[in-house]
Amino acid sequence: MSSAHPTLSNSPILSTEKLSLRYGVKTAFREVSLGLHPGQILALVGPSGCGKSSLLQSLNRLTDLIPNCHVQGSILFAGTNVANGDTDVVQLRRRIGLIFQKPNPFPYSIRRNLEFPLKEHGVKPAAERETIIEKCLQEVGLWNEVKDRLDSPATALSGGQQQRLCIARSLALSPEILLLDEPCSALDPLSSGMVEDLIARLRGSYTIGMVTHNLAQARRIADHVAVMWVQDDAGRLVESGTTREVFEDPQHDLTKAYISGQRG
Amino acid sequence: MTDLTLRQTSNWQDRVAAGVMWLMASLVMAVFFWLITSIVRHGLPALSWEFLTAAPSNQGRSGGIGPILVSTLLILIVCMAVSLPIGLGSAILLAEFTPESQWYGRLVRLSLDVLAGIPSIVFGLFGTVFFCQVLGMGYSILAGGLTLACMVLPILIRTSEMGLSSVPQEYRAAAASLGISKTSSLIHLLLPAAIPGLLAGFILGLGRAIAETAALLFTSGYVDRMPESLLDSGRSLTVHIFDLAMNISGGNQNAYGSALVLLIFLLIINGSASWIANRWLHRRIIRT
Repeated sequence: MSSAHPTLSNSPILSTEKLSLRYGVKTAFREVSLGLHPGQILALVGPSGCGKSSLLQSLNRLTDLIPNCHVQGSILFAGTNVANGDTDVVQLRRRIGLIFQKPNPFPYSIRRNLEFPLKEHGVKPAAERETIIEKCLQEVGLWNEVKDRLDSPATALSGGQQQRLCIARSLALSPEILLLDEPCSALDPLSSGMVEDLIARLRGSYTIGMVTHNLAQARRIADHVAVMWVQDDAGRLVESGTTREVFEDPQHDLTKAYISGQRG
Repeated sequence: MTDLTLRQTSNWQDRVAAGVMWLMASLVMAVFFWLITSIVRHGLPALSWEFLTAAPSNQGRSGGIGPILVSTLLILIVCMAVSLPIGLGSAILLAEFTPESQWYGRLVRLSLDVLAGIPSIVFGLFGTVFFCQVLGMGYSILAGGLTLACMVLPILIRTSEMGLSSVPQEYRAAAASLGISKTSSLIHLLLPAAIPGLLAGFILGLGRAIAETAALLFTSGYVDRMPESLLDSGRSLTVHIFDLAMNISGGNQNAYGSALVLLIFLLIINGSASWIANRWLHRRIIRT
């Protein structure tokens, strides 16, 4: 299993340093320092409300959309601190894609769901767009299912197909990092399995950070695992390491209790 | 046995409740039908091509409503041409750029709600002073249209804002996470998705404008000649009905005729709006 032997020598492509985030007076997570390693999968696990999703969404500054949201600390990506106010978030989000828990295709046709972001990011020639669309739909294993109905509404697809379409839509922009916020939890077991296999297949080509409630899933596909917990009314990172380290030799008592199913 | 009794009791109560509700609904319908049949019965004999095109004569007792239709249309065009861009712009600002919690947005929303509740006669007085006198437009179609625009704006803005706010938040998050700029997602995603709501605002505004009398009495005036420019005074359909019904003895026949024309206008506007919202626009966002 490749996840058992992650290459730790790689320096992280993105790392947070003492990153904290609060909504008004409520702190979502405090002083999290964590790295994403190139081509590998990091799973963020922990009980509900421990700030996993907020952490994930702060990495490509999507938390900017939430009023009264304040971020402290730094996010180092491509040699700069992108937590800074003057970062071009449009470019940042093109390079760091994000997939949500609930599939959210646009109310367009399947084709236009991918075409719209491509046009927006300046892919002018129609032929080039068509090539990218086909390539990405094949990458997520959707091409054979939808190639005859590219012009029908995306909202008519099943939940699992919609989620894979959303992943294809992000991949169309060739991001360096793909963040997934509980991408399987709104899906039926069969679709969930397909999306999980897809994420595992993307390892190597993309750097992946995913939030999951499913410890077995984290164990199956992640190279690194970070465990978060609510301490003093705020989410804290209690332990992180390779999947084998965290699951087989946890250092922290909370981690031990969590992975053995006694807490969380 | 007990069960049966219970069931009968609840059936009896349900039937009474349903009966009362039917009665209430029928009452509303009855008033509506009485109004419509009365207008149609009295108005239909007056209606003819001649009536729609000819100028009124004998103070409106005879002749038609040609110039009045033209004035009404011009007033509506001025009103909507001014209020639509301002209304849409303000709605976008409120819905997309000012969070609910911010004092500025709250202040604007509060003032709009207060403005929406102000009687039209007050807008009329404001229009007379500001547009007719201060800005020197006199009694004119322009002054009337602008006064109506002020009156319609609060409704237009609030309904359009609601239309935009009802677009699922997931679309905004999805667009943002793909690095799509705020402007692009507005133009290609949020506005098209909000069109049923925006259209509802437009219809409400247009309906309020076309039905308005008091505000126009003071601003666009009484003159029933064919207007030659926007600075001419022009009599709107509602003012014409008011005048015929209140001030001109023997004007009832033509008042009913004009009321029927107004009614038909409103039906056409509402009907076409819901048709557009249901069919054409739904397809548009999926396809393009």
